[in-house]
Amino acid sequence: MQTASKRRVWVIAIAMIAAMLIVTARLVQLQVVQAEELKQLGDGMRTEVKDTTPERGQILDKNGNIFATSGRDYQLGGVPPWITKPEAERLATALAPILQQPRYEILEKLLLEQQHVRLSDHFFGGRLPAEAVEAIREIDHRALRLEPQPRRLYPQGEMLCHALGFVDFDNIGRSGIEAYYQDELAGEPAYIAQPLSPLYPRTNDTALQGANLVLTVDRTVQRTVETYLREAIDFYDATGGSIIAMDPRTGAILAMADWPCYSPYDFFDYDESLLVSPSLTKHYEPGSVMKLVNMAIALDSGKVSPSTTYDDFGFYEFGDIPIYNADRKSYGTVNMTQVLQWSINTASAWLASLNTPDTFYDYMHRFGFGRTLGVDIAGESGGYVAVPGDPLWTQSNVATNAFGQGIAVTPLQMISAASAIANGGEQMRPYIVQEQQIGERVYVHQPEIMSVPVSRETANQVTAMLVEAAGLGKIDGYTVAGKSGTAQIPEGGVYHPTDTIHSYIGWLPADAPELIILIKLDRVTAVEWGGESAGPTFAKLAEELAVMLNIPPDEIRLQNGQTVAATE
Amino acid sequence: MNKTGSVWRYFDIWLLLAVVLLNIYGILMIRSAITGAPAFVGFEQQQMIWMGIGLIAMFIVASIDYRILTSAHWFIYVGLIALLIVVTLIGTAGNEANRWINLGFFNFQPSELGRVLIPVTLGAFVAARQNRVNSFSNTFITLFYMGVPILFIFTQPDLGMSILYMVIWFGIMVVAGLPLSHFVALGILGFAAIIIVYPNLADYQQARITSFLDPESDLEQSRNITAALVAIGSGGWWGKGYFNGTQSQLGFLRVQHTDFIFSVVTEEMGFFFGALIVLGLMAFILLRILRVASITPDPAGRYICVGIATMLFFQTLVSVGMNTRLLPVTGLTLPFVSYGGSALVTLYIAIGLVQSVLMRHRKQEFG
Repeated sequence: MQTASKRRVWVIAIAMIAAMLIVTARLVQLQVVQAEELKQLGDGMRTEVKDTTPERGQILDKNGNIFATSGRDYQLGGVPPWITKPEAERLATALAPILQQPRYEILEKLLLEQQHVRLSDHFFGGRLPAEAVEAIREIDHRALRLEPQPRRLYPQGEMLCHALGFVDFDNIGRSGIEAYYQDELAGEPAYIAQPLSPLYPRTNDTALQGANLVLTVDRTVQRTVETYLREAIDFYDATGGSIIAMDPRTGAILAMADWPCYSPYDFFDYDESLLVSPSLTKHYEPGSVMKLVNMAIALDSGKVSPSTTYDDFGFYEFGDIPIYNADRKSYGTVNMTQVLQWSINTASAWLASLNTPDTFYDYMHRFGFGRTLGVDIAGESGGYVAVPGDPLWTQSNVATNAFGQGIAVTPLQMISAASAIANGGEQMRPYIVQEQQIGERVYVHQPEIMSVPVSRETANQVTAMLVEAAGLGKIDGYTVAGKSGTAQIPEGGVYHPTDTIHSYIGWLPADAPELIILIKLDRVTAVEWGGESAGPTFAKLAEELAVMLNIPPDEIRLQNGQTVAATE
Repeated sequence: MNKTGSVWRYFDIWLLLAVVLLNIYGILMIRSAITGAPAFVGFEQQQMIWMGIGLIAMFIVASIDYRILTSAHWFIYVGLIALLIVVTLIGTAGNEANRWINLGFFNFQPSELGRVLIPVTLGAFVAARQNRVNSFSNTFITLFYMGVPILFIFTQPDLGMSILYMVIWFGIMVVAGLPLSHFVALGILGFAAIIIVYPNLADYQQARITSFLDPESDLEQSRNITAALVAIGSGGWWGKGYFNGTQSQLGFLRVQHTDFIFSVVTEEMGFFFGALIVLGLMAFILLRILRVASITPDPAGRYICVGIATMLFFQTLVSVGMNTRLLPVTGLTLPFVSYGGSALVTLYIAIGLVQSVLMRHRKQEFG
């Protein structure tokens, strides 16, 4: 009895040891055989690869008013496995009027054997209208999912639309500032492989948050400019137009308006051609406004001086093409100021012919024609200037280019070139974003000299002439330098028989400019000459902006003993 | 009973040494396991205090002649049942199960103490009925004897402990000479019982079994099992090093200082310095206890030792088994290693009982 019992004790012992050996074998299996596999499984469990997309930055005017910000709208998804057939039928009935879709189509989707169906695809970008979102919230069915999507909001509506650009449904800027600053606005999603643990909170940082952009534009100035543009288009019976206001000292764009506009929020409702900025992309022949550039070239190259005279016979032939004055008059002996004042084509062609074509086009290039300026708005066009060597170029181009024909420029190029004259020969690179705010960091734009096409002396001489040539652009209290233009419109190789583009560029105060404005009105029919439409528009707008921008009238300014460039 | 010194002569210093080593190893592992978990700060110090209390309890129990206990086995048995009834009636709620009596300074768990009392009372009971061991009625009577406390423990509900009690019964009955036919018959009955009992298990108990059989069924539970596997597997031969177990340190393992301490041990210390040391020490402890069972002439004393060895073995097997996904998660802790004060003191009392039996095994010959 005793020995049997003792033996059984050892049976138990052996059984226990055997069991422990089995466990040990299992451990060897886990720790040796499957070690690598389990280690990788563990690495996978402990590491979370994150892709956190930061909120797109805002675009603000110089006073902090919001031009563009990020919001949400919704797509509608459905989860068929969570719906019984009768339920699906009820849901389809309820959804049909909300989604404005036939009931059977919705029902068909709800009965699909899929984990997820999309019910709002027939809307543009799959985005539900606001009323539909409300209605679906009221239905509040667990199988219906309102799936938030980022959507760019533009609280100012259509204001500044072309410069701002728009953001597509993938949250990517497709034009304007939105496109140019896409990377900055979007920030950088963080791709972090970080240790993951149920016990510790997950860090939620992004690699780089989206930058807020502060523009050089003041909302009030912009609204004023847009209002004046629309009024001018109505008043002078134009089809469209552009106004750009800049600070010639820095290149800061103070306002940029084009008509027709679009709503960036509803970008998908518009024809693509309306989405691009005319100020930056629309080629036109500038006409007589170009004469101020031409005059600057002739003066700067030393071929003429302000007192040089020209004998006008109403006709000038250069490169086999006869040049006439726009009004077909002949002005007799004129000085250089009068050439601009009366906008004499023949004299301008003669001035251009004094330089070799190479020199002439070298100047044109330095003024920014035929090339992009590097403005921080996407989609900028460089215009087109035929130069010697191009198949389209003939010698007569020089003569016509002199008064703004046979050359394609953009409004921005034209005002930028003029700003060089206004700013004493230094052409500042145009820009619209004053500051980039990335979290606590702020990057402020530093004004940059883009080129120095002519000397300060030349610039001052041309400015002085343009004070005389300002015409209807003159305003009370300020000395304005300005030049109007009335340009024919080339269409299919010939000029349109009647339609013209009226434009005016002026700046003030002429001796120390703080504001330069380009007015461009397309196909004006109410009056004949740019000086009669764009000129007065400039005067009215400049008068108002001078107050808004706090530019002191000459009387007060000169009393304070400021320098007067014109008297140098 | 003249000279105390004469009995202490037989005191198994090796057994004590192995137990203390395993305990210290456990405290060091607890220290690492709870790093970074603010709720568990100071647990290693507490465990050291419990170790001290446990050692004192062991010596006290060892100094008491176990035959005083075996002769009073009915009183102990009835007392234990009474405590279990008290728990059922007024037991304070904790961890979704009613297992404890709140004594103010600590939560007293009668079933915990029962782990060492049952081998004593059942050992004495079976020893007294030694000559009837071949009768089927005796087997049923002993089963019923165990069934009463198990019923209360099971309704607490505490599945792991209930099974442990059954296994203790089984270990003692095997050594007592349970005929194979009874064993087979009981096996069939047991299988039938499982079919009946399973639907009545508490949700979390069912979940533990289904989680084991089908890891996808309960995300939290299966995650913990997977985390344990990863911990063990990534430990490799030599481990990641003390305090370097990413699974436990990063909080992937839950109850890492109690139920899943073995994962921490193997992750940080590896197969050689972790698994082999723990299992080796435990095997040594079991053999030392079974050695006492084999040399003691008193059947009651033998059954006590076998019961205690079975208890230690089963807890170790289940704890390691659930860490390595061989067995379901039952909530049984790894003896001497896992954190837990009353459990540790109970284990030391068990060792004290074994020592008591050992120290007095010669007396029988002379007495």
